[in-house]
Amino acid sequence: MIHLSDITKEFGSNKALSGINLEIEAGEFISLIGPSGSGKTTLLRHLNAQHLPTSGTLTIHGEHVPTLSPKALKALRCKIAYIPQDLGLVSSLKVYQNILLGKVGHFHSLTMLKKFLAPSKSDLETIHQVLNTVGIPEKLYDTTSTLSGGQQQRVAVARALFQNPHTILADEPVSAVDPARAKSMVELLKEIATKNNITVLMSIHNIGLAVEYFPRVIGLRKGKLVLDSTSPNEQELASLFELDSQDLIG
Amino acid sequence: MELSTTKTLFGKRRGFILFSLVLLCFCINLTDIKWADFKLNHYGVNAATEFFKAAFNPAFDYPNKEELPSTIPPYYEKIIKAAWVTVKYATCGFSLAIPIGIFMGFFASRSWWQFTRSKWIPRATAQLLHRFVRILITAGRSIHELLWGLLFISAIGTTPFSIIAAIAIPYGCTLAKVFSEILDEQESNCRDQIRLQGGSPFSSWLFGVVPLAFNDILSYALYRYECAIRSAAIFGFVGIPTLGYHIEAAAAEGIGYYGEIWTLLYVLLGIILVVERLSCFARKKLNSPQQSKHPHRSLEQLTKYRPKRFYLKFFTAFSVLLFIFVWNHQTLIPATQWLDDESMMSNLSFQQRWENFTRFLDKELTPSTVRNSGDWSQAFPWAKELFLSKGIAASLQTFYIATSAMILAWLSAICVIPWASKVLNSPQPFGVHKGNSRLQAFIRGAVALFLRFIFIISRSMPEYLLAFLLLVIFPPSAWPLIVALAIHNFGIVGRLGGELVDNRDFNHAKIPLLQGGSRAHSYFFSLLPTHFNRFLLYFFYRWETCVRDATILGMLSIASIGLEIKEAQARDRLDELFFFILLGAAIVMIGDLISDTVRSRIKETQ
Repeated sequence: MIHLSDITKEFGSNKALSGINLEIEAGEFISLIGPSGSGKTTLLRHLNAQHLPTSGTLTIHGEHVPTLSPKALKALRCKIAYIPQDLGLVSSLKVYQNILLGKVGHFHSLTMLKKFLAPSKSDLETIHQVLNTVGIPEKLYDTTSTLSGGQQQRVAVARALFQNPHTILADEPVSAVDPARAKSMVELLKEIATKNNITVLMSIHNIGLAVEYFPRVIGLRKGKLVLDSTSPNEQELASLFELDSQDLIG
Repeated sequence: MELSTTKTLFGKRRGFILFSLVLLCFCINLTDIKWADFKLNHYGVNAATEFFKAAFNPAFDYPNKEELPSTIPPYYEKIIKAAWVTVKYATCGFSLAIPIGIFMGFFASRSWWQFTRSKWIPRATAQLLHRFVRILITAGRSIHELLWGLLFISAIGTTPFSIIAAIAIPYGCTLAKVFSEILDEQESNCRDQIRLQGGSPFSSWLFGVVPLAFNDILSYALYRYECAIRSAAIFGFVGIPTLGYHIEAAAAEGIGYYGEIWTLLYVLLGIILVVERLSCFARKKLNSPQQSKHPHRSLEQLTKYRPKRFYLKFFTAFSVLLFIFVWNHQTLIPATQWLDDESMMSNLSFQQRWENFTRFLDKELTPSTVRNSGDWSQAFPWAKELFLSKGIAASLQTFYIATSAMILAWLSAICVIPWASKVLNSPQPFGVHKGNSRLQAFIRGAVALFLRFIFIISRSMPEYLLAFLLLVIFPPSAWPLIVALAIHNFGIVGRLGGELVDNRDFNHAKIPLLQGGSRAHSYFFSLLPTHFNRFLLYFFYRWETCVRDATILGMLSIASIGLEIKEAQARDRLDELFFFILLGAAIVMIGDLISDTVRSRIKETQ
C-alpha cells in the first residue's frame, strides 16, 4: 500500500533521511522510534506529501506521490489523517466544529461553512458516535480550550476518525502527557485501527509502549533506517537512544 | 577584564529613556513655548477657579432662562437630543466602517493568500492587490475624521452624509489595518492542519485563522465604536449639533455657562463609560469558553442542554436594531431641526449638490495659479511656495507637539502603573503574602482604584475637547495642546500597561517580593525591564496616533498644520486647505512608517 524506495531528503546541506526503504501494508499498526533529530517527523511528513523526497520513489496505493496533481493530492490527503504533536485543534471552536473539520477536504468552503454554523442532524449523529468511540461524548458542545490535554488528544483522534481515513499518521501525540494518558491513547488508537482496518504510523519516544502495543517497530537514527522488527526487545530499542559525545554537546 | 561603572548607564532601556527626555526638552524648546506660558493671568485664574468650581455645580436648566422664549424645549430635552445626535452619527458612521474594515481588511491581510497555489489567484496578483489596498487604507486613515468632514462639507455641504462618510472612511481604514494585522498574527498550526486534511487554502484560512482571530477582531471593533462616539462629539466644532457643538457654544458664552459645559461633559463621559463597560462585558463573555454543566451522554439531551450564549444573541439583536434605528431617515432629521429654523438637511436638490460636488473637484481644489492660467506646470511652484513659506514650520510644529505629548504621557504612565495595578496592589501581589494590615490593604486598593478611574476618565475625554477646554483657561500656546494629548494618551498607555501587569502570570515578578523587596522593586526591577519592549510597542503605537491627532489640534488657533487648514478654510481657499490636508496626511504616513518599522523591529527581538 505504501512503498518507499531509497528515499533521501536533504534540507540544504543537512541530510534528514538517507536511503529509506519501506513497505507498509493496509491495517498495520507501526511505531516509529528514534532519538530527537533521527528523521521520524520528516519521514511521516513524506507520507502525506508535506515534504517531497530529494530522491527515491514514494508510492501510496500505486500512485507516485511527487507527481500527483493538486486534485489528486487533495484526494490523497482526504484519506490520510494527520495528528501533529500540538494536535492542530482550533482552541476557540466547539468540539463538534473541530471534528467537522476532519472532512474539510470533502466539501467546498461555503458548504463547509454552512455545516460549520448549522450542522445537520446526521453530521451531529456521526460526530457524537465518533466521540463515543473515543470516550468523551459529553464534550460535544464544549469549547475545545476548556478540555484537558488528554481530552484534547481524544478530540484529535475523533477528528481523524471522522475523516474516514485509510491511514493515520501521528507525530509524537503522547510526548506531552503522563504515562497513564499515553498508554490509554495508544490503546484507543490500536482498538480503533484494528476494528476499522486503518493503517497507523505513530512516532514515539517511549520504548515500553512500543514493545507492548506495536506489532511492528521501525527504528531510525541519524536519518537512516536501522531497525524494522516485528518482535523488538527493549534493549535493542534502547540502543537507538544511546548518544555519542557529539550528540550531547549538540 | 576591566569593570566599568558608567557603561551600564547607557544600556538599551536607560538609553531610550534618557534619549526621550532629551528629545522632550528639544521639542519643547523648538515649539517656542516656555514654562512661563503656563502662568495664568488674572482672567485665567478667575476662569480656572470658576471652571473647576462649576464641576461640582453642573447646570440642570438654561442659565439665561428668563431671556428665552417660553416655546423653547426643556433643558433636559436639549441635552438628551445632543447626546442622541452624537450617538446616532457615531453609530451610522461606524455601521458603514465595519463593512469597509472587513472588506479591505481581508485584502490587506496576507494570511489568506500567502500559501495559495491556486492558478486563479497567482501569488503575484494577490501581492499586488495587497499592496494597493494597504496604500488605500494608509491614505484613508492618515486624514483625520475632522478633516474628512471639512472636505465633505466643502464638497457637498453640511449634510448628515458628510459627517457619516467622514467617520466611516478613516474608521473603516483603521479597522481594516488592525483586522488584517490580527489575521496575520495568528499561529499557522491550525491552518496547516486543515490543509493537510485536504482543505483548500481558503478553507484553511476560513476555519483555521478566522475563528482564532474572531474575538480579537470583535474586541477591537467595540473599542473603535467607543472612539467613534468621541469623534462624533468633536464634530460639534465644525457646526454639527453633537455634544461638542453645545460645549463650544457654552464656552463662548463665558463664565456663567461653565455649569452647562460640565453637564455636557458628564453626559459625554457617561455615554463613553457605558459603552466602555458594555464592550468590556461583551469581551469578557466572548472570551469565556463554554462548557456543558450536565453530564448527559445522549445526543438529544446534549443538544437540549447545550451551553447557549443568550447575551451574545441579545447583543447582536440590539446592535442590528440600533443600526436600523439610526439609519432611519426620519429619526435623523428632527433631532437636528430643533436647533434652529435652518435644518442641516438644507433644501438643496440632488442636482444642485452634484453640481457643487463637481465644481469642488474641477475648480475649487485646483491650485489658484493653475485655475487662473490653465497651465498645470504652475502647480509645482505653487505647492513649493506654500510648503516653504508655511508648510515646513507647520509640519515641524505638529511633529514637536505630538512627540513631546507622547513622551510626557508614556513616562508618566510607566511611573504610575505600579500604584494602579490591581495585582501589585492586592494584599498578596502575585500570590506572595506581604503582611499588610487591613488598613494598609484598603488604602492600597483605594489608590489603585482611583488611579484606574483616572486612566478611564483621561482616555474617555477626546483630546480635541480637552485642548479646547484647556485653552479656555490657559493663555494661547502649544502647551494646552501638548497637555491635552498627553492626558488622553496617559490614560491609554496606563490602561494597556496595567492590563499587561494584571492579566499575566509573571513568576519572575515574585522573586524580588520573596527576597524582601517592595512592590515597586518588583515592577521597576523585574516587570518593567522584562516587558520593556512591550511598553516600547505601546509608545510607538500611540505616537503614530498622536501625530495624526496633532494635525487637527492646530484648528484651535495654535500654530501647526491645523491652523493653516483653519485659515485656508476661513479665506475660502479650498486649494490651500486641500494642500495642507495632504501635507498633514503625508506627515501621518511618515509617522506610520517610522512606527511600523520600529514596532516590527521590536517584535522581532521579543
